[in-house]
Formats: sequence, C-alpha cells, structure tokens
Amino acid sequence: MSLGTSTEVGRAALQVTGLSRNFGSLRAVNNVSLRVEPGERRAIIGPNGAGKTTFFNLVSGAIPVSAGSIRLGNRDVTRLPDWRRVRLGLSRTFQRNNLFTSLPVFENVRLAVQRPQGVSYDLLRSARSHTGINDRVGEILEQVGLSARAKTVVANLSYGEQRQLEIALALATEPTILLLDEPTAGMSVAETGRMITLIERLPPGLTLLIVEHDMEVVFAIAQRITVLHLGQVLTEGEPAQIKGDPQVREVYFGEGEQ
Amino acid sequence: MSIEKAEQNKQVEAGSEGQGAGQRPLNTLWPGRGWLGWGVGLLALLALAVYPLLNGQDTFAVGLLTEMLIYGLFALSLNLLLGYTGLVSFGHASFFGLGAYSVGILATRVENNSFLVGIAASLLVGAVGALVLGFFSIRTSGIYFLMLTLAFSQMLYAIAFKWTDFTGGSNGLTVRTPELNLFGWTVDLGQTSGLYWVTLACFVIGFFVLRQVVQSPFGHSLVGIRDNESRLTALGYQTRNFKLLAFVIAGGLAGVAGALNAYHNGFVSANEFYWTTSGLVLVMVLLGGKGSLVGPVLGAFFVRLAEQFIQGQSWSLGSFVVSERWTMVLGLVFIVFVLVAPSGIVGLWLSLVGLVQRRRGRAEAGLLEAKGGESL
Repeated sequence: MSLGTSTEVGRAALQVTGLSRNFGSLRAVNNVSLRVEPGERRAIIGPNGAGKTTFFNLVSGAIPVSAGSIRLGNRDVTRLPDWRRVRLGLSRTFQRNNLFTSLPVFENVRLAVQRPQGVSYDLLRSARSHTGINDRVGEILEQVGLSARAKTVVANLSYGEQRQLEIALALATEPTILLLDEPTAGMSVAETGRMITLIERLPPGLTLLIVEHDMEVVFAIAQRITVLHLGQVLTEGEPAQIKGDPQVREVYFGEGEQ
Repeated sequence: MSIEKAEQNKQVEAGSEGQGAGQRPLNTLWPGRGWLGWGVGLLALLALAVYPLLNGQDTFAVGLLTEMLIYGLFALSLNLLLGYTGLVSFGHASFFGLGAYSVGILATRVENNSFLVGIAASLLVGAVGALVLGFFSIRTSGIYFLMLTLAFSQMLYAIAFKWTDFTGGSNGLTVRTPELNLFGWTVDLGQTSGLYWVTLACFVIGFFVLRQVVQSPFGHSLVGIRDNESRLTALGYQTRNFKLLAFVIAGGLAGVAGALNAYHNGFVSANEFYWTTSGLVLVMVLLGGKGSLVGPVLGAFFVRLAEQFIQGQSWSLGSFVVSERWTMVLGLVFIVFVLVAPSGIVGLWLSLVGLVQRRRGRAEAGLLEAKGGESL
C-alpha cells in the first residue's frame, strides 16, 4: 500500500497543522504538521523528550494547544474538550496505566461501552439487565484476551493484563482513530508478542497512531513512520526509508540503540 | 501470602456465584446479599413496622426510632455523593434545612396543610437548592469543593437566622403536623406512631430509590467518577452533568429527611443549616461505612442509639459527667473507627466474613487434598 501518494485525494482521518505547545520557555512540540489517512497505521518515534507524548496529549485534548490546529475528518477539534473528541471517534490509551483500579475488569469495560450506547444516564433499569451492553463487553474482553479475568479487580491484574485492558477501554468507545501511547512499555517479550498480535488483528478500517520505543513493534505494525526530534518533525516515510535514513540513525539509533 | 489467599478466595467465590456477581463494584458487595440479605432486611423492616403495636405506649422509644429513620434517610442521601461519587460534601445540611423550612413556612402561611404537599415541597425545594448550589460546587474538587459546600450551608444558616419575617429568625418556626389522607384513609400524624409509620414508609421508599440509582448504569457511572474521573472523561463522559444529577437526587432526599424531622420536632430552627448538622451526618456515613447502602443507615442508627445510651448513664469522673459530654464521646468513637476500622461498621463486618470464609476455604482445601484434589 502506498498511502504516501494519496495525500491530496480524499479526506484525512487526522490532519494536524502547525501544532505547537510551550511549557514555559520550552517548546515541547514545535510547528508539527501531520496527515494520517483513514485506516492507516502510523507510528510516531523519536528519542526521549522528542515530544511524542505531548503530541498525543494535544491531539486527544488532554492539554490545550499553544498554536496550530487539529482536524478530525472535516471537523476542527482544536478547541473541543477531550470528552467531545472521544464522541467524534478519537480514543486513546495511556503510557502509564490509567484504569478504574478498584473495579472489576468487566465493570471497567462496561463503563466504556455504556456511554456510546447512550445508556449512561439511564436511572430506571439496572446495569445488569442491559444484556446488549453486557454482551458487547464480553466481545471486547474476548478480543483483547481478558475473558478469563472478567471478574478480577483491576488492582489484582498483572501489568501486562492492565495494558490489554487499556486497549479494551479505548476500543469500547467505538473509535475511528485510536492513539496508542507505548502499548508495550514495560512488558515481557511474551507479553509484547501477544500485544503485537492484538494490534495486528484490529479492524482494518481503524486508523492507528502509535507511539512506541520498541523498534520491533514499530516495524511490525506501522505502514508509515513519523520521526520527531526536539519537538519537530525530522522526517516521515515508509519503514524501509526510515530504517535507512542517516539523519534518523544519528538522532535516534545513535543514542544507544545500536 | 495473605493477599494471595484472598485473591484465591475471590476467584473461588466468583466462580460459584455465576455471571452476575463479579459485574458489581466489589466495594458495594454486601455479604448477606441474595436471599440472606433480603431475609434479614425484611425481618428488620417487619420488626420496625410492628414495634409501635407491641409497645405503642412507649412514645419515647417510638420517637427515637423515628429520629433514627430520619437520620438514616439523611445519611443515605449524603452517601450517594460521598460513598458512590466520591464528593466530600461538608454542607449537606443545606438541603436538610431547605426541606425543614419548606414545611415550616408552609405551616405558617397556608391553612389546611396536607402532609403529602409538604413532603413534595421539601423534595422539590431540596432538589432545586441542590441544582443551584451544585451548579457552582461541582466546578471545584477536593478541599475547595468541601469549603464551598460548607460556605453555602453557612450562608443559608445566616439567612434563616436573620430573615425574621420569613423564617422566624432566632425564634424558628412552629410546625403543626398536618393530616394525611390516603385514599379515604386518615393517618393521625399527631400521634407518635402515626408519624413513625409514615417516616418508615418514606425511609423505605428513599432506600429503594437509591438502591435503584446505584444499580443503574447512571449509578455505575458515578462509581467511575469516584474511582478515576479523568479516565471517565477520556471515555467521552461529561462528568459534570453526572455529578450535578447526583447532587440533585441527594438534595431532594435530604430535603424529605429535613421535612420529616420538622414534623417530628414540631419545630424548625436555623440550626438545621448549621455546620454541626453537616458534620454529624458525615460522621454517621463514615462510622457506618461509605459506599454501601446499609452502612450509612447502620451509622445513623448507631449514633442515635449511642447518644441515648450515653446520656442515660450517670458515669462521672470527678466533675466530668460523661452524659453531658456526648459529642466528646462521639468524637472519641470516631477517632477509634478512623484508626482501626476506616471502612466503618460494614468494613468490620466484611473483614469478619472474609476471615470466616478464608478459614472455611482453608478447611475445604485441606479436604480436597485428602481426596487427592480430584474435583478441582
């Protein structure tokens, strides 16, 4: 698939233009522009402090932008709060597990499912009687491989299982664009393998943006890669191009990866 | 080691309870749920309902029971905010007072009061008051939320105390209990047992309303707010609306409790709004155990009973007369609970049941080993 040639045709899933964010005098994200096609699998890489997570926080609406604009499809979402962007189909996972830790796995996913199904304000029926919702929760747990852990309280899950649940929550909001912030961070080799399989099996229409340190994961998943360095886009291209790019080697792989 | 054991037990429990059990927030699990919980609940209700028939002459005891039920309802309403939504309100007396003054002002301005109109008015005024105060309060969180709710209730206190023409000021208002006509059947609320039964009915209705709320998808959303509000926002929830609606429900029910209290005392004073009322109900919820439906009720019953018990004693240490120092005793009890049993009476009960289950689990494990563990 050569998605790079189709940039001028059709509507982008995500279009970021001139995005900047300052923390005091630090420009964490500096004039970043980016276009992601529907269904594309895009990785964003870069050494520590490149501004990857800040970029995700800006796109998801967790923090306000200093300059620039963000479009989802044909909608400008730059000023919309995060919960509104979720409703427009933008969902994210967190680099550090961010879950409902005192609740069981099933309940975590049910909270995520019941909102897009429009029943989160329902006062008259019990949550248990919404069998449609509960079936959907079962499907999602199946999809991420947590069915056997449905009744376990999140605090008692292994770290890897909590990462899986992060994905389950994000998927349950019925996104068209999914931002994965270091999905395999801190995982064992076996867990990482399972996570790659899980991500590869996501529906092909789902647009995926992934920040990841593990290059094996990046090359296994990404169709295109954007390299950030000191808050700016260093280069962008297909995995093979990025692998061979001397600039990238210098700033990224040069820092101890090889 | 003990954590592993607990985890194992949880798995065993979940396996034997079927699909539904694990889907409930664990902290709202009352071990006596199911037929045992319903049985105990029904028995308690039956005992409360027939008590005045058996011992109707003892108006003091019936009055005490009335007060326990009123504060039980009041504590239940606060618990929706404190235990389920995680909002620590230090101004819940606002709605209790608004309910009380609703029937107080009705009693002084309107001839031929109806009890049902009084209760409906207190429900409405409590809910609308909660809508207005909640609108501002939920924009803050943590200590600022606490201070703001406290400030609002103290403002209402000042208004009630100063606006003599309308509220009776420092004299308060006298409330004559109106008649209650239900389908041609008249309940004499002037009699202690009449008001008691009506209070019991209001309490039971309030209990089941809240039970419905916390088991609904909306109630689950509230628990999500308590557990991790920012994550719920990242799932597309506009959490403010949920908190506001919780506030309105809690405010309405607190208003009803306030109205019942006014009928019970035959009197309304600015003290209903005072911060000590908010503090007392907060202590009741915490002593009983927040986050369950039974906890706040037990807390309210416990505090009211203990107060009567202590004040009936003639213990003294020199010039220190214990019965005159009830709030100090309550303070000491509270400190002990916070240090030893932070989850309140319900928490104590749960750890007791957990202990028994673990012991039984161990015994069963031993039995299985003896059999060669075949059935696992």
